[in-house]
This record gives sequence, C-alpha cells and structure tokens, in this order.
Amino acid sequence: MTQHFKVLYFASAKDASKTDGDKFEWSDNINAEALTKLLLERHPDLAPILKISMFAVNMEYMDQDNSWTVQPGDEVAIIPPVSGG
Amino acid sequence: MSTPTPTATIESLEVRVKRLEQEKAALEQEVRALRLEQSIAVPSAAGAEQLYASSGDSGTSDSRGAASTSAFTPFEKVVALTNPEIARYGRQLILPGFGIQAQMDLRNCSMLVVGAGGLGASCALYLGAAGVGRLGIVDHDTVDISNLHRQVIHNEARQGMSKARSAALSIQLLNPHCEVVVHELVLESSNAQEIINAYDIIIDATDNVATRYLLNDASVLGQKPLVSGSALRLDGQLTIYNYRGGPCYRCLFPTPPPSETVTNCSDGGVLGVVPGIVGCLQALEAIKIATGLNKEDPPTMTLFSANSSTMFRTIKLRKRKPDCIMCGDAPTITKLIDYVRFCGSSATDKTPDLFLIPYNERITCQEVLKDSVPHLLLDVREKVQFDICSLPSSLNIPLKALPNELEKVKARLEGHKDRPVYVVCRRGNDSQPAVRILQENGITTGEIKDIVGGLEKWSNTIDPDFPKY
Repeated sequence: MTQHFKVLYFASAKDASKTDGDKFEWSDNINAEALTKLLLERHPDLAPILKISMFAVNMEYMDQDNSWTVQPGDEVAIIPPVSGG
Repeated sequence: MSTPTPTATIESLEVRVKRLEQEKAALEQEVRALRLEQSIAVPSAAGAEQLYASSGDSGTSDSRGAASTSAFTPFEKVVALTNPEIARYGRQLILPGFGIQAQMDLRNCSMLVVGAGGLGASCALYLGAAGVGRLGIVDHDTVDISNLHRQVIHNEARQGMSKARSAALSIQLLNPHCEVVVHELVLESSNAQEIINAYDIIIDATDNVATRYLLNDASVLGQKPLVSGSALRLDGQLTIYNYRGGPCYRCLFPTPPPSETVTNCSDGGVLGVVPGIVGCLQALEAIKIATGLNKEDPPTMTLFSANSSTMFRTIKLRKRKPDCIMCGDAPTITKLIDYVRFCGSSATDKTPDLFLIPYNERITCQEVLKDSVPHLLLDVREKVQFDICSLPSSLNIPLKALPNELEKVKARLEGHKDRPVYVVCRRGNDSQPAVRILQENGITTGEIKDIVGGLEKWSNTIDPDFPKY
C-alpha cells in the first residue's frame, strides 16, 4: 500500500503554492534536501520562499541539516517569516 | 472623654496627612484625565498635541504624565499599590494565581512597544490597562485614515498626529496610572541599544524586516526578552525570542528574505482584526513574562490562520543554536550593524518608488489625458484591486499573469498592430516591469509606455473623484 505524508503551507508559502496543504507519496530517505526538491517539483514558485522558511514536522521545529527524514503519516509545515504589522 | 493623650494625637494626625495625600493624588489624577479629555476634544490634531504637551508640565512629584517623561529618568518602583490602584485592578487582584504579587510585578515592570500600528494598537492598550508601570511607545509615523481599520488606538480626529503621541494619549485616557514614554523616532542602530536597555521587556510590533533584525540583535545584546508578533492578510505569528535559553530570531530565520518576496500591509492587504488578535497575544505573553506566570513553558511559535479550521497552531521550538552568529557560543555579531543594508529593504513599510524605466520613456497622466491617438490601456493590478476601481475600457491582466496571458493583449490589438500600449498600476511601480515584458515580446510596433505615478497620481492630479485605497 502506498504511504503518504502531508505538507502544510503558511503565509507567503500558501500564496506561492496556492494551497494551504497537500499530500505527497512517501518514500525512504526524504531528508530536508530531498523534501525541498519534491516541493519545488510540484510548486516551482516556492523557490525563493523555501530559502527563508523554517521547517516543522508534527508541530516540532526541525533543523535543515538532513539529520532527520520524513516518516509515513508525518505532517510537515513550511513556515516563512511574516513581517507585517 | 478627656483630651486625648499626646501619642494618640500624633497618630491621628499622621493618618489624616496620609489620607489627605491620597486624596490629593487622586484629585491630581482626575485633573490630568480631564485635561487630556479636553485636549482630545480640540478638533485639530496640532491643537491637541499642544495642549497635551502642556498638560505634562503641571506634574507634581507623583505625576506620571506622558509628555514629560523620558525613558532615561529612573523608573520608580513601589512597595505597595495605592487605594485607587487597588480599586482599578480589583478583578485581577482577586484572580487566583495572579493576585497582589503579580499586580505589583506589573506595576514595577517597564515595557517597550516598538510600533503603534495594528499590532501595537491592541497590545499597548491592554498593557496600559492591565497596570504596567512604565510603557514606552516607539513610532515615527503619523495617524492615517487608511490604517484606522486596524490601528484602533488612534482615531479620526488625530489624523496627521504622531502615532506614538496618539497612542500615549489613548493609554493615558484609559489608565492615568500608567506612565507612558513617547519615542517619536525611527529605531536604528545609532539609538536602539540605549532605548532598549532602559526597559525590562521589548515588544516587536513593527512592520518591516530591517527593524525586526535590529530589535533581535539589540535584545540579545541587552539581554532582554523579545515578544515578537507579526501579521499580514489573514495570518499571524507570535514568538518570544531570547528568553530562558530559547532561540533568537536569527536562530530560526538566519537569512533575511529578499525584498521582492516581502509584502507589506499596504500592498498585500490585512484584515484589521488579525493584527489585533496577535497584538493581544503579545500583551498576554509580556504580562506572563513580567509576572512569572510562564515559568515552565518551553519555547514555542504560535501560528494564527484566520481562515483555517485550525486557527491556532503551536510549534515547539528548540533551545538557542550554539552556532547562531548572534546568540550562539561564539557570536560574530557583537554590536549593532547596518540593518537596511543587511536586509536590502528600508526600515519602514512604505513602498519605495521604482526607477526601472528612464523617465523619458514613460508618460504622465496629463499626457495620457491630452493624447488623441487611440491606444490600449493595460491595467496590471491584481483583480481584487481592479474590482475596486478602474479607468474606462482598460484591460486587466495582473503583472504576475502577464507573461502567460500575452495572447489577450494581442487579441485586443488585432488589426491595429501599431497602436500604442499604455500600462497603468496603483502607484507606477508594477507598470514598469510590465512595459519590459511587452517590449521583449514585441507586442506592438507603436509606443509602449507606463503611466508615472499610476492611478494614485491620476486621482491626485486629474480626477479627484477617482478612489484611492
């Protein structure tokens, strides 16, 4: 059976991807770098935003250093800084 | 009864003096409040300011008027609340887990709210009302009607008045016990550290990237907790930085966003209540820090999404990064830097004029009006803006969509391949790259020009009935 993980987009990442979240097919070894590649394949407009965004997995901050991989059923959040006020 | 003993007389005199002093303080407060009300009633903002400034001079030893106070006059702490204070804060004093100790902690705490805009409006009002002892307000801008939908601390009559001063007035009218310090200035590397060092807790209620990095660095250097909030469109973020081993802003966002990816409220839009909600959360967090209510909380970032079924999400953060260039073990930034250069964007949220196309290749509103040659008018604003108002017979294709929708322009020029194309937008910025796109694709053999100053200029110089937003 195919397994999935979910991605949530916030603020300008939501604008660039034109959705607040979507599903990806899970595979082995999706680290920060592979995740970035997957996201850009589906949403090329995310390119400048991913460079400045924070990643969270299951509501917990993650370093972008490939020390972790996405697990089946994970919820990944793409959080760019908001600066307005 | 016989005459009282000498001791009893002295005691009762002392009690009487104390009572009279309290009455005097209460009456003085009433006088100040009345003066402020009177100054608000003056229709012109300048008049109000003048009266307000003079009301500060009448202060006595316990005067806590806004205009007279500097951040650098020592902040007087107290050991007890006065009776009027007890009466005012009663509902907080009887709150289990808060009580007199927390109220005293607030009274003896000083906080700096940087920005009297959408975030600062609700934040500063609640902090002032709650009983914070000294509240500094930083803002360089003036009250503008187009911001009142979210900046509810100001009002219609104060248009043109300094926002820092207007915010101070509103807080003083709400609670004369709060000592408000007005900082009418742009916070920058040359002045930020001294101001920040004068307060216990810093609240980032600003509207631009450069000031966010400046506040972060100054708070790390000054060892102050930074309660940071931000809002745009329907989204908001809230984080406490540099607090009890948690991260600083640079730990999470080491790279400033390129200026073309940054949207301000003026261009991106914002639902007024959204920064209001984030500002309230900032006030709450600042109160929790001052009173020690959040002793066990790990560092988090709260995300607010107004239009999502899950409006609030809390992201668990890690501790500060040991390799952070600002708050790490071996920081490379040890004093404030040039933040405008570092971020490549200005320290305000104003949209700067773009100069991509030489002036002689552009066209003015007057020239368009006089032009008798048939032309195609292309409006490159987003559809939501086009729907508010547009010039007759203009074709709307947003700048972002233009490269993929050139066919629509070609269709309108069918049979008139030499017709000039004039491009218009809101302020004359987006129209310039649009001209380049049309030129590169050889859309017409006629002239391709953009209208200097856009529709705002059109409204200012040609048609005052054309709406500005």
